[in-house]
Amino acid sequence: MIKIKNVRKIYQTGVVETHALRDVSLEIKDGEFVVVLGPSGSGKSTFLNVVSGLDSVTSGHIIVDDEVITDMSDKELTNFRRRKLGFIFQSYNLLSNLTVYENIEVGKNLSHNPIEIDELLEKIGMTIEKDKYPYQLSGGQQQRVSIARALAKNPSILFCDEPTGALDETTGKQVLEVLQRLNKELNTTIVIVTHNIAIKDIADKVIHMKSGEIYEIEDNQQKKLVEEISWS
Amino acid sequence: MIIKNILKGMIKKPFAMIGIISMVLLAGCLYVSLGYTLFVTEDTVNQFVVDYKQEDFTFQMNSSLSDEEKEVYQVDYIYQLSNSDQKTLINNRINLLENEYQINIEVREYKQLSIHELDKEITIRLFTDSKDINLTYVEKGRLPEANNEIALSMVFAENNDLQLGDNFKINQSTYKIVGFIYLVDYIYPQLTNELFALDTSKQALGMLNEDSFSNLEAPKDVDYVGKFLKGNYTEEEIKEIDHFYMVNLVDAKTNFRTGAVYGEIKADRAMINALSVIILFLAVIIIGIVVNKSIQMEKNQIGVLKSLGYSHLRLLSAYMIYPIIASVIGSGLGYLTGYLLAHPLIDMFRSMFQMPMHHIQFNFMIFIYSIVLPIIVLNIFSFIIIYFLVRKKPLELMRVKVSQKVNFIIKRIPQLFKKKSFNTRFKYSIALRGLGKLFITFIGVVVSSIYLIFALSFSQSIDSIIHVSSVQANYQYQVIYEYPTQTEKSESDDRFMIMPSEIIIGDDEVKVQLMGIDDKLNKYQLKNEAGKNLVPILYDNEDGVVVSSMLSTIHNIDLNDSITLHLLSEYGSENEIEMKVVGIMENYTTPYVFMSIKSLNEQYGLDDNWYNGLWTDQKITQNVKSIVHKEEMIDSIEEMMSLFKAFIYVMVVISVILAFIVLIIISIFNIQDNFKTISFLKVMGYKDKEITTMVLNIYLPIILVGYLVSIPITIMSIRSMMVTISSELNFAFPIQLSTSYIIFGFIIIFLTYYLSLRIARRRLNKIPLQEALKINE
Repeated sequence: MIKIKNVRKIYQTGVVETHALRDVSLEIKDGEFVVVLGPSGSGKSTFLNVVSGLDSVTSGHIIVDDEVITDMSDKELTNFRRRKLGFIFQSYNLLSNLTVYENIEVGKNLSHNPIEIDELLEKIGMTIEKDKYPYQLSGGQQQRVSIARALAKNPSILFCDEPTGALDETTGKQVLEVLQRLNKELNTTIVIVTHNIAIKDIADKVIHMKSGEIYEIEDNQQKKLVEEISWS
Repeated sequence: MIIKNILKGMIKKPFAMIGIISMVLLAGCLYVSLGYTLFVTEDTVNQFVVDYKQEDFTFQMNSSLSDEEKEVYQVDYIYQLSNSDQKTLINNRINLLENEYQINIEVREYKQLSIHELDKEITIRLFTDSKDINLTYVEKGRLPEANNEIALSMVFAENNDLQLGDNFKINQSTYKIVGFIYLVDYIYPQLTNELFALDTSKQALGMLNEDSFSNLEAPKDVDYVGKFLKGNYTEEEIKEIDHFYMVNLVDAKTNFRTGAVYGEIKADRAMINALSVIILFLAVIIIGIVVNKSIQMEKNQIGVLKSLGYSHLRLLSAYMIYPIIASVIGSGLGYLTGYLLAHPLIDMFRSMFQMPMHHIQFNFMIFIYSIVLPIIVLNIFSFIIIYFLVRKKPLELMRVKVSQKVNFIIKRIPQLFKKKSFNTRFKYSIALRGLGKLFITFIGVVVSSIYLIFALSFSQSIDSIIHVSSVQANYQYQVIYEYPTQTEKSESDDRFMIMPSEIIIGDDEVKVQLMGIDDKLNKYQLKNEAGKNLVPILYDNEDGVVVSSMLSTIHNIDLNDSITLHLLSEYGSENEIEMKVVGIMENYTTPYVFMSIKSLNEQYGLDDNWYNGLWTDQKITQNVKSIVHKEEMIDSIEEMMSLFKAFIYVMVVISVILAFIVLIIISIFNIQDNFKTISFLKVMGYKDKEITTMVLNIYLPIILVGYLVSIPITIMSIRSMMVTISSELNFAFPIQLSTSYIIFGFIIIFLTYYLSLRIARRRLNKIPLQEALKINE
């Protein structure tokens, strides 16, 4: 369970104050598939940064599984991310000198209770490519590897920052299919930040943001399968 | 505008620039400091020897009389003549030699004593002022005029804080110090053959007036010094001087007292040139990488500028700011620090080579080599690199590089390190990704380690020389009599016969100390490097000799070699004998050839009872030509070695600075190259310490390999240089490097690496987590 209470984030640049988050409050249940939607500058990336402990808040509290992460030191936050969180980025951030298998090992290496890499490779459909290097893979394949890497340490929450941003519709949907399947099979809470409105239909909960505020939280009673949605 | 942007980037990331500037500075500082020291030394010596009429050669008068002389005087040796006859004979000989060879000959009389003064044992050699050759340079005060006056060598006075007007006691007589002097024939004031080294606070030169000199109770010795009337001479002309009257003729360039300074200048110049070039070479490589990296990071921006119409020459000139700043600041500061450092260095040189050193004057060539040359070299090299980088087409520069291909070595990692932990494989993949950085790290470590190992080996050799000198001698004094004696010696003393001789190697004649020894020695040890006693071997082989390792090293003499001994003697005829080398004695400081005293005496027509030297615990004073106290000998070696130790410390410091600069630059490059990876690992939950280990601490194996590779390279280099070094310095160095020294050296390199990591880690800690979220460009 993630509880976000009255969170504010203000960036100070010289004399200029930018309110990136304004009094944001929210609850995300375990195993939920959440999509945070909003245009550029809406504060969705800041939201992801503070909820995942990558950035601090100006005021308010964030509690994850009864741990108040807004009170944590840098060291405690590192440890928290290590134990609980996985990340997927728009730029896949795969390490170019490591094979697919080794890239997933980067995640596995952090956990006492990891998921077996071969099992993950099977789940993302890339067993054959396990000895390939990133430059030998397509964008969709690379993003699937980054999903496997994030899940290898068996996190309870997976944060995804524009996971399909650099992909075309077909490969983007392949990536979302993997996420949807893993959410179901592993009961991992997934938070996707995106400006792609088509993705909202596969979420349990959709959070709409604008100018640093949540202006609507939508509970999706009739969640669709990825194959049923369309970009356009 | 572009320059402004580049300058801002430079200020934001100053480490690499500071590193390059430091390397140029180091190279410049070394070159300028030693360059000026050598320039001043050479300039001084060249003028000093001319102005103060340094001898062209020195020799001993043959104490045997020629057949004609024998007919006149009816004796065989000079010392059998009365004083007035001796004087007449010597004068006749000098006149004859002067006419025959068109030379001027002067008698250089001196008296040498060991005295207890200034609360220590001091060896002093006293002279009177000379007339035409080897004139005295008075630095302060004047030459002694009255009977109770003395002038002392400047360096000795400085080291003992003596002032004009102070008293100085020699035996029972007290002298007033009236002057401080330099002697042109004692630039390197080696006072005995046995004491090859200098202890400038315990070895003095002094000048008395004629009366004081003759009244001083001490054995008088004489050198005959000569100078060509025409003013200069060649090596051939020296060789042509070969007369029955003259023995042990040595020319000024060969004589250690007057010639050592030239060898030192030559050796130092070679060393400083090599060292500066290597450091500059490393600086050139690193500046190439820095410029390359800066341009790679800004290539998109450059592409945009080019698309706007900027020519590549304009961009090139803007990026040339890197090498221009590095070379101008580095070489400028290098010149300045080198110039300042030259002053104490010249003083250090003056304590070894005692001359009235000139003041430092601007030298155009040093300026060119230390400032203009590095600027030209660095800038030309950088120009070529930048030119090839900015001449690419705008689209090529702006194109986003999606993924990097991996090199063939990285592809082998999974197979090579299958069983290694993930962290290890990760490290190697990062390390092997930048082969350029790996290469520089390797070269940097090899170069630094070569200097370090050279210094350590040198240090161990010095310890060994001191140790060997100490354990070989169980006596207190080595006494050499004025002439052979048959006097009964004390049971516990060891006697020997010492004869100045030569060994003939090719066309060269090498001066040696030929020693005849008894088969039972109490106070002297004749042992080889393995500690084996060589006396029984010597006595088992009638035509056998044992040579010192100094001779063996310099002249490449091995066991079982035959050597030709040219026996020169004041006591008998000259002849040549063939002997076989049956042992090599561990002695690095003296050109000894040992044979049985019986065999040696036979060569001179003397029976077994004769000897002219003793190793004893008694301080003998009668009929003594020279006496050396063991402590004094060890002290002098230690003092001499302390100069080398200072040199060693400088080398260690240089190697550490060099290694540190290279390693810190590489670590910072590594952080820059893996900026995103580091941020990503932080986001994943890796701790800073773990990331340091995985991304930064990746060069330990290459450092170890570099260090190990440098060991044989250094040893081989030392071996190849040994003959030159030994003949320049006039003693040999045992090439030694024990395991403990090797480990110690590695610890130094490792600590340097660790320090560079610690500093680089601070930058790593500052990398923001959000960096990972940014989209690849």
